[in-house]
Amino acid sequence: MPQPVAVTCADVQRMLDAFVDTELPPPLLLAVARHAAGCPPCEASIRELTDLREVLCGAIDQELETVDLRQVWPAVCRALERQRTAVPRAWPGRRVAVWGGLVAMAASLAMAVGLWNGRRPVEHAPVVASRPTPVVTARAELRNRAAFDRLWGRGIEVKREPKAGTTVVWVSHVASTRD
Amino acid sequence: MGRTATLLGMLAVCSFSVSAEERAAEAQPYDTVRIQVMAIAASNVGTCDPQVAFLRPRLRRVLNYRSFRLLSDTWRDVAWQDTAAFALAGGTRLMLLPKGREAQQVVLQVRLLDGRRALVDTVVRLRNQGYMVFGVERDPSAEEALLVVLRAED
Repeated sequence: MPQPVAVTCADVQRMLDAFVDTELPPPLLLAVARHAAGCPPCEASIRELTDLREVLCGAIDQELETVDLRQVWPAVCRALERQRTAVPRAWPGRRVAVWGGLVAMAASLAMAVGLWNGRRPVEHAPVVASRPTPVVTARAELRNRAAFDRLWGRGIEVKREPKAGTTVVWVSHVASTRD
Repeated sequence: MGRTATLLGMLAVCSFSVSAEERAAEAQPYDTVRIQVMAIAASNVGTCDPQVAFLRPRLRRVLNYRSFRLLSDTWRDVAWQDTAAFALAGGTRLMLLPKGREAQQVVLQVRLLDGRRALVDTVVRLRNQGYMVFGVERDPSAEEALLVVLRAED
């Protein structure tokens, strides 16, 4: 049975970042955790750094939610289409290396394959005809918005997260155990 | 030169045949929707599972839990108008039927079952590649809940 690693406050301060990022080897992680459990200053340091990290992650997450990348692929497709339909240059003459021709053909083949792969057919699913759908704007807040045509359940509650519109259908314990 | 011409000819034939295959593949109906179902245990004990850390900020805004642990993550291509069942933790099951597409939304009929008993029965319009969550409070005293994250990608 391996002996537990002993660490001091100075060790903990030195390994603080790596500990919070769980980048330490398991014995050291355990040692730091053990030390912090009995050392309020070190525990406070860890807690402070963890909170800071959460705040930063939250801020980054919020920023990411506002980025709208939906126009990227259409723009790429348009650019590829322009490239594909562009008028080729005049053949420079017989002295062009044969391998140049081969490379050009391989490139056009790769481009054609890429274009076909990129164009995913989208018109085959059944279309549900019913009430008109509100226009979906480009706002990132609506990314996870869900709308209910019908919703049944005993004592359920619908919650919506404001940022991305994430919808939660909540079934409480009392409701779920009732006959 | 003759060998080079033969090589060029073969390459041209190959490129045409590949293009034909690609066209044929495109002509096939894309008749499934990709469904992802994640079962997550939510509690106030322990740390957050890194696999579901990206969900944590959103979940924390509406739920009183701070620790989330991934129990299962299932991806399945489900045919339109076909029923699919997902077995989750603790005898909970999610049954769904993709009904169709409307604008940028995927219309799904969803039933959440506890054994044979229906907890939720709904027809929901989910934004393409968006997700929603079903939460089942297992035991209020234990401060634990089962979260079912449903995502549809058309």
